[in-house]
Amino acid sequence: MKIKIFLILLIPFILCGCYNYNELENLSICTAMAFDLEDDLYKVSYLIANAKKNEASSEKGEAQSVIYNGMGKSISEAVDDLITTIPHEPYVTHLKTIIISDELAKKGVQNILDFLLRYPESRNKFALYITDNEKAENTLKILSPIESFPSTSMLSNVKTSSIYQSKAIIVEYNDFVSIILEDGIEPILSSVKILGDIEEGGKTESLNQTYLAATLKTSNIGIFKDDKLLKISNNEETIGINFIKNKINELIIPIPCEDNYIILNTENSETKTNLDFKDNKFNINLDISVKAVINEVNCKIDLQNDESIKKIASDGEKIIKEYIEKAINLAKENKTDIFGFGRMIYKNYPKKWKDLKDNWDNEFSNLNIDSKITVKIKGTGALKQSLEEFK
Amino acid sequence: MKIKLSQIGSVVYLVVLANYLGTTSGTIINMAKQDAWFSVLLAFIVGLIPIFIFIKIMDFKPDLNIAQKNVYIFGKVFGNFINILLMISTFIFLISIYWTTNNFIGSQYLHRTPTLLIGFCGATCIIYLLNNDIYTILRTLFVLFIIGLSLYIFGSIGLINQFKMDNLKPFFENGLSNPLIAGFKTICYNIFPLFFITIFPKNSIENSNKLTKTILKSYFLGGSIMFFIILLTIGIFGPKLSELFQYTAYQLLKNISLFGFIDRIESIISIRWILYIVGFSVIASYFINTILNNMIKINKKVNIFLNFVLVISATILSEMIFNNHIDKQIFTNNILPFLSLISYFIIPIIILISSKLKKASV
Repeated sequence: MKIKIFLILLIPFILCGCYNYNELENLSICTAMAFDLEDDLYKVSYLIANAKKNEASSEKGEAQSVIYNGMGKSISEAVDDLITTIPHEPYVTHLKTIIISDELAKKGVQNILDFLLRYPESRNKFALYITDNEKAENTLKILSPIESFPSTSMLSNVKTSSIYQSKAIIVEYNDFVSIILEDGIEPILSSVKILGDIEEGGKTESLNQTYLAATLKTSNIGIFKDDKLLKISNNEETIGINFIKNKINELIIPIPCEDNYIILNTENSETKTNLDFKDNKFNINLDISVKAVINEVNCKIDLQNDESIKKIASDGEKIIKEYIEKAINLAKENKTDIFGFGRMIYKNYPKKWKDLKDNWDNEFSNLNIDSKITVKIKGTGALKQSLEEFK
Repeated sequence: MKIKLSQIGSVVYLVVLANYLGTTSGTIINMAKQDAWFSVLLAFIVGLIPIFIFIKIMDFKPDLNIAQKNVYIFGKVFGNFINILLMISTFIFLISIYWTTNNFIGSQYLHRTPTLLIGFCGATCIIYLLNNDIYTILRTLFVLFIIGLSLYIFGSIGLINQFKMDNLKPFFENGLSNPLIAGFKTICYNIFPLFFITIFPKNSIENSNKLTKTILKSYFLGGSIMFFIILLTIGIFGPKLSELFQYTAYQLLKNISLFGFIDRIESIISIRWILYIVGFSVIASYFINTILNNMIKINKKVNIFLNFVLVISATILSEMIFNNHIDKQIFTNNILPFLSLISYFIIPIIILISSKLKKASV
């Protein structure tokens, strides 16, 4: 009995969870991290949600979040330097986004990946982006009237863009690392850029205006080779990449009509990638089926005529084919298999992959890729006929 | 008072899964890569052989535990020699599993806390449990089993939609030899230690005629859970990322997302690993303690002190012997499988054959 009492009294003193416990008010909760290269040194920026001790919400005019920077020869040194400036211990478990500047991404992101994968508090469930001709730190400065923190604003921005524009894609950290480690596939990342005045956009006064001094805009996809950024694609290449990777949700396709356009809005797109081996060569066949509705008609065309609808669909197919060919050319010119065709060969023909593996960059450039696109126009919106035709 | 069948079942379940986290998963993924699922499946099927051997040993002289059976079959000197070998190998297993637990908790949860302090905290629980009678121990282990199973089901539901069959391909890219060796190691780490159940005399278990069925049911449950966990690990992470992490099964839990809003629950779900390890440690310590009690008569107070020394020394030795994870890996890959094979398979075969001969001669 005495031993039991002794043990019960002893246990509170050796409860390991209390050994170096932390109160929430002693933590600086980091919701985003940005990585830049400055004078050949790593510059790490943390976006801290500075919750005040005794107040439920921030005072009027006070920024909800604040940015701290650190610099060093390695990521750990830069984080160490940063910690000397933050009043409380940084807590990275609530990270939502990581932004890497395109300049740093071109030199390679391996150091960043290793640091965050190894760090025990890191949950690796955050999204990864690069900047488009911008400093990564600046993207953390842009305030939004709709979201509390720039990190949440960026994530929402990319999510919305991925659904309604089908340009941006959300790449999670674990998936990015997994692709880098695998053979036969190279990673891609969405990019963001800033429109407007960065300095004005970072001030809370800008939120009191009806127009924003600066906004974050999702830009095009950056293509990588291993962990190094090669280039950022253009609009059409980005759309083509998303078609091939089956990441299309809603997309506006402008179809030339007289001097104007008919706008198709895709509702659903499905890409099936088939691999076959004939005449000692691998062939990739992309079967893309798109269901779209007519969103806008700015020319004289009879929408009640089946031939007109078929022509619109056929023109849509040609435009999509152009996007796809541009995307494939981009990948082939840069010798980077961002679509994972090499991975498909590895998964289905592992023995043949062994012969191709070491020279896959060149083999990929000569790979035969065919695409068959089918566009079905499901409807014409609320109007049966074009206004021009109806006049 | 008798031991319930469900409690024996819970012991089987806990012992099968205890070594998975830090020992089995890392080893078999590194060896078999995307075919690690096959290694577990193979181990699970082939593992039935040692299970039936253990059941047969339990059937012989059902009123005696394994220590007493060894003395009965081989005589006092040689029987006790075998008992000492079993004790030493179980103690080494304990040291190995303590290092895994302490390192896991220290590296994933409490990375600024000394691992020895973490070990002492865990040891306190195990010592307290050990100093109770076997019925209390087994009731506690049954509760751990229920909690562990519930956490597993909850966790799996949150992961199943992220599974990609493509990550398991290509099948048997590097042939069958590595998956087979990995399968053998799985048996050594997870199935051979089921020999601990022979410490319970069959007559001390109620409805002992249903014992085989209960053991097999729990074994299938534990084995299938291990199979699904490895399948989910490789299916979600892919073979390369699975190899990279030190505790892949824990990292996998960070991906849990239920109904779009239940996430960040990896710390709760991963408690099941700690419960399995506590269960294993208690049963292994009880195994050593019972054998020692059969060899030399120990009174209750000395027994309490003995339990304390046993667990604390295993904790301290685990820190002293393994300086880092490389030492532990070398031990796990090269020494532990053979130790397990000799102690929990070859010796039981010798015991079984000798028991048959003894029975025939009597």
